Amino acid sequence: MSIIVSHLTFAYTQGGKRLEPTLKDLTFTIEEGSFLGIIGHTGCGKSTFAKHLNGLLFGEKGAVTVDGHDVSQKSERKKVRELVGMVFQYPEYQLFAETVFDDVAFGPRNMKLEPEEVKTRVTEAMQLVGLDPERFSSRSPFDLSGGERRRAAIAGVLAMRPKYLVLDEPMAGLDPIGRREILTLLEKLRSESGCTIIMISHSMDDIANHATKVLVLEQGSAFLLDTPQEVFSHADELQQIGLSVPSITKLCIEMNRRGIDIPRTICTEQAFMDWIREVKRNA
Amino acid sequence: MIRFDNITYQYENALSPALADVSLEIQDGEFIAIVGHNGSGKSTLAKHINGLLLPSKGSVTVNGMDTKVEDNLLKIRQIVGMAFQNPDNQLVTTIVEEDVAFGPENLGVTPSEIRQRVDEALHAVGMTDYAEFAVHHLSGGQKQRIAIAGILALKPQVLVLDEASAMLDPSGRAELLSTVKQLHDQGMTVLMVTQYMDETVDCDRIVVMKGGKIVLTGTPSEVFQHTDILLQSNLVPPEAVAVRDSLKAMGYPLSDRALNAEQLSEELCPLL
Repeated sequence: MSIIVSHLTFAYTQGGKRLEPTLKDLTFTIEEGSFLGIIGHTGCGKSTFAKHLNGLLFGEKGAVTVDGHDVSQKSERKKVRELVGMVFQYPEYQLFAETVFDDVAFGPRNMKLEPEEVKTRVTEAMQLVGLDPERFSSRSPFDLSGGERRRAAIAGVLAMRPKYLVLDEPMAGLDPIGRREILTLLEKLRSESGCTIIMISHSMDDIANHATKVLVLEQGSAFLLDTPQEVFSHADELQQIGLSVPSITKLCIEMNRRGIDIPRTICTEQAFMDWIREVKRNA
Repeated sequence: MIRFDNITYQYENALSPALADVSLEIQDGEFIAIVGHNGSGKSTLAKHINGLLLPSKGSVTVNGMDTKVEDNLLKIRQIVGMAFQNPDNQLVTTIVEEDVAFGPENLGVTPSEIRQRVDEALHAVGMTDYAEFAVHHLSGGQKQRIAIAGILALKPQVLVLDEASAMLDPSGRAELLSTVKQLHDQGMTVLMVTQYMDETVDCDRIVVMKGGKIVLTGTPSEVFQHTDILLQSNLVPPEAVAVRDSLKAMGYPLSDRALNAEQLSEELCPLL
């Protein structure tokens, strides 16, 4: 099963007037179990695209189906929203309940699950994000630190056990360790429960290190869609459309400039160190 | 010169102080980066410089004026300009040049002088061509540069940036950083609170905070020799420094001055 995007086109309207399309004829498949990174500069259509994945928006042309369910069909939408969990930018601003437990339980309760099942789901979700249920359940979400609040908000989405998790800049505003915690969590979700991750991010280093596929959006069109290695080897084109590249890619470019023949497909620290070891062995 | 003398600050209802006995001296013309984890006290420290917050204990002085003396505040705020995180919260009018003129107008500066200051300020942030643009048509990075132009029009000696790049995309961050570097080259004292370690490699001094205390200060090359202290403070060094350290562990003789891709490749390439 997978998410299939076919010929998706979408335009916002303003005062009854149709604006220039935000998404133009997007066609691709998001494979189950993959980690899709979406990059592009502000205004390229990233967040608009994300909202199509659970039917918050739907295109005027083309379609998005999630495991065969068409997101534009009202009758399918409940199913789609159980399958696709959505974590918006700064999700902690959406915390509202008096306790962390009640906040995380909001989704499962809306799904009309039995109280015992709700409790199981909440405990599981809190453990996943690293908030000890014993310590945190009865605390107010507003007494938590920034990183903890962010994780509590994500737990609320995970408690619905989504098969696909869409995150719009989930690490924005967090300190380096907070960022690392979120990325570790996403890797864990993918490896342990086979959850498909779709993450919008400005951090090219994080995308290079974690994504299995990268979608580059430029003015609503798919500019590139490939593995991170391939995508970031097109550094010049990316820079032309105002995007940066991973730190390791920058290093490779500098080394190329100084006459060292290091492949541009190297974009992670691990791949770089492997290359160095190879060079050393052959020296 | 700005001096923090043993300052402690506790927010209302907080269990522990946000700043605990912090002392720091900032010289005229210095470019300082303050880094630290969420809740380390770095923004609280920045808000003390122009008296937005007053210390519970200790004192803060700007050019010898104590921020606790109310009569000093107007003068201090003319010396210290401050830019914050969210660009949309800092612009007050709809047209770029009107926004930049807002501060000097409030100080009763003469119209011809205002014109001159606005032109200079827009020039300094590279936004001259946008003088008559509507503010809401600008990108995040452009809005932050306009916010800074509004501060420059007040002719401050010190610019404090409180995570001013946090909500910007990479190109917006790059724009803002190069504007700030230029202002510093022209003599402005800059204090930049940030979470992005790669933004700090060109500053004069880095101050690392953890749990309301300063745990490390030094030049970028000094600070980035202490990866252990950074990690204990919930921070990580820039990627180029992490790679450099791995290469050093493999026996490549690289210096502590290699802090970015360019410097690292300059030292590494001849060794390959």
